[in-house]
Amino acid sequence: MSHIVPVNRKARLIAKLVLDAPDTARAMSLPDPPFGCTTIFAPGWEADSSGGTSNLCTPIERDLYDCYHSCYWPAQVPDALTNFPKWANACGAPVKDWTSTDLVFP
Amino acid sequence: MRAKALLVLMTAALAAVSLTAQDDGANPRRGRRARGEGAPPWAGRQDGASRPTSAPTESRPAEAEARKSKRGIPVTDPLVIEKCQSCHKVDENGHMTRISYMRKGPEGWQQSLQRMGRIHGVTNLTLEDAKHIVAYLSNDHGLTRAEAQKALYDAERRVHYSEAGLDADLKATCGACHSVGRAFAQQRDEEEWKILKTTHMAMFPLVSGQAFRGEGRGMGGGGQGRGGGNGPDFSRMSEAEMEEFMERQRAEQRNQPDRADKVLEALGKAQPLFSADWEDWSVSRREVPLTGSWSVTGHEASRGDFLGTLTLTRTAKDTYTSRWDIAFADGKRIVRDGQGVLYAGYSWRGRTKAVSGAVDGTRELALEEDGDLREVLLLNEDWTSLSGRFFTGGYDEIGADVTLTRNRGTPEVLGVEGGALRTHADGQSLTVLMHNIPDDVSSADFHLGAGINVVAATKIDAQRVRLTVDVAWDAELGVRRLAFRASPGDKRVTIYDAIDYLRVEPGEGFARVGRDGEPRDPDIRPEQRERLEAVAMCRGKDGKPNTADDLRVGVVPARWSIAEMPVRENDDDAAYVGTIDATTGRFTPAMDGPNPNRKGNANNIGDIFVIAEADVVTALRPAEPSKPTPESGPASKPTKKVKPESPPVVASRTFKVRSHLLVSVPIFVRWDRLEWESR
Repeated sequence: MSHIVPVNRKARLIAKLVLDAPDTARAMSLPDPPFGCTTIFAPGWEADSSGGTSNLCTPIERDLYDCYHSCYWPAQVPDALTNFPKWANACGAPVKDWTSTDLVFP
Repeated sequence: MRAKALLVLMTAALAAVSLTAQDDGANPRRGRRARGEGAPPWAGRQDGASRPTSAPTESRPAEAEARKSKRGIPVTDPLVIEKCQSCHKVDENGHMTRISYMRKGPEGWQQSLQRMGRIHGVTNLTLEDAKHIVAYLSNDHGLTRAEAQKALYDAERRVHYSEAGLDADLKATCGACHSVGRAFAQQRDEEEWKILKTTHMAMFPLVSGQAFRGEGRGMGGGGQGRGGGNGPDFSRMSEAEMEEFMERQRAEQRNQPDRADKVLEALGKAQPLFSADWEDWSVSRREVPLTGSWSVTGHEASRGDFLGTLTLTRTAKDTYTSRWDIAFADGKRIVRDGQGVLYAGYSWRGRTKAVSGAVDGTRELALEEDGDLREVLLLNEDWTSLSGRFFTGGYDEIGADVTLTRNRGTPEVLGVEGGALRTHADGQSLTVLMHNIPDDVSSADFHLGAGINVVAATKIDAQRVRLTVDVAWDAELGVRRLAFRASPGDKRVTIYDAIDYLRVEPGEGFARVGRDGEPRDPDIRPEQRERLEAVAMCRGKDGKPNTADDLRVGVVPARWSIAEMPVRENDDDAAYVGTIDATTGRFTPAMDGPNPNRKGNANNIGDIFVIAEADVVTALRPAEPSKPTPESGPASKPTKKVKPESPPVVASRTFKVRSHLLVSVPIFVRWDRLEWESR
């Protein structure tokens, strides 16, 4: 990075962070990501493409129905198409309390 | 979000097209239309659930003929035939469609059976029926020991396990949603491997655009949310351009095998239905007797090593009751009672409850859990040892590694407490775990190889012998076996010279926010916790830290804290994600749900540093010799090691290390709920 010079405040901040933590391991960049952690980053379920959480849908509940109806996260969210067509029936407001829905235990 | 919705719609459209083209009849919508209300799925279909309905009729007799001659495993269990034959046709060889052409472990068969109930309307089973079917299929259509061993980490529900050495395509295709171990736990004939793809596409249509797509093909790459990756930028396309793009994609998908095809072809060769190993096992199999006393050694992360005994008593074929009596190094004793089943002659699946020693309702530690603790163990080839994992927790994340050794009445080494010795130090103490320790045990019974001299051996109790050991200054660094009398031994002792750094295990911590309801409600998913340990490391023979030859000296007590890992401006994750116990390294994530106190109602998720600080007594290395100058001649000549005049100075050093901990969102589906195990 020696040929890149930070020219504004944000860039200097980033440069400082990078220099402060040169050997920091990042999620998913390691050969052994934890199991249950998807490797699809669009934008990612547990981690974004940078390995962190800052670019994920926020809050996750906002995206839950979208993911349910589109079957986008097959291993993370019940899908409306095949496996759990009735998942959402019992719940009017998952943003408030998703845990009271029928929790799809096979 | 809108861009994602568009992407999702388009991918779904793509998936729908590929489904129509390759519909194998597993599409439930087609199935329902075809069979009418109330009838079992694919009822009346004469050629099994997996045949293409859209295939030209003239090819059918040939296909049927080919299938008839195909070798499979006949189904002999009357209950399986009775309950499954309405969809899985039985032929004259006793083969049932699909079932006869694959083998799986107990978890794999359970998943299939539960899917039949969830999607295909199989409701005519009692719990006992279902257990019987899973047991029959796991035994007669199961895995060999070697196959089960390859996939053991999946059955053990490990959160941290290295799949680093696996083929990249295999990992990308299977590992995006579940561990590759789930694929390892199956053996199928080539056709059945291919059908696996259509099953996935029918159940999870978007996989064709996600994990199953090839490199640089199909939809999007990484980081769609930030416009990264190699995918198309739909926001800059006109409708006509999008249409053209989609058409190109469809043409490409029609004409080329994708990554999944490639992977399944390889799996078809690597994991065939029949193997020499399987045929050998199926002719020589018998009920493997496990009744008797077993010695237990193990380790629970953030709690320590434990030692004890297990008594197994047979109650029916392959079924046992168990009593675990174990104690941690600090003397805390735990007794657990349970039962278990040995599937396929190798695979133990058990469940225990605490009788005493449990801490009521803490959910802090697996072995002190008062509720159910599940066991997954694999028997070794010689039937003398079982090893695997106990686990509990909302994501099966809290567990302990355990090894059992059958007590055959003869003295045997079970393990070594701590298991590390320092060079150039006399009178070191090493506690050897054994059973049937002879009264005349002496230092001459133990051997640790060149440079190590066992000077005394004292029996401490029924399972422990304390050795006093002198280690020479030039003893070879590395890991060596502890031999006992006429046995070469397979338990290892690490020889190190000094401690150079600390490591946090697991290196990549992972937790999920959740809901910790009290009293515990089985329908509410609790958080996923993380247990961290600080491990003292030696730089090894090459003299360089963080290389492959580094030696793991052992777990050391540490002071734990968390700190922000700044990845964005004003990053505030550390204040919300949860707390770490300063002395044990147990991380407890925060509650789930949007947090109104955070920007954008964010969940309590984030990336943080975990910091471990430990005072470790170690030999201090002498100052490194300065690098040779060019004048002093060639530096590459190896210099002979010279015995230091005195042993190295031993002192306490403080080490500090930090590692990454990802605290993320819950999973909203529970695929692996083992109701059938609750006997």
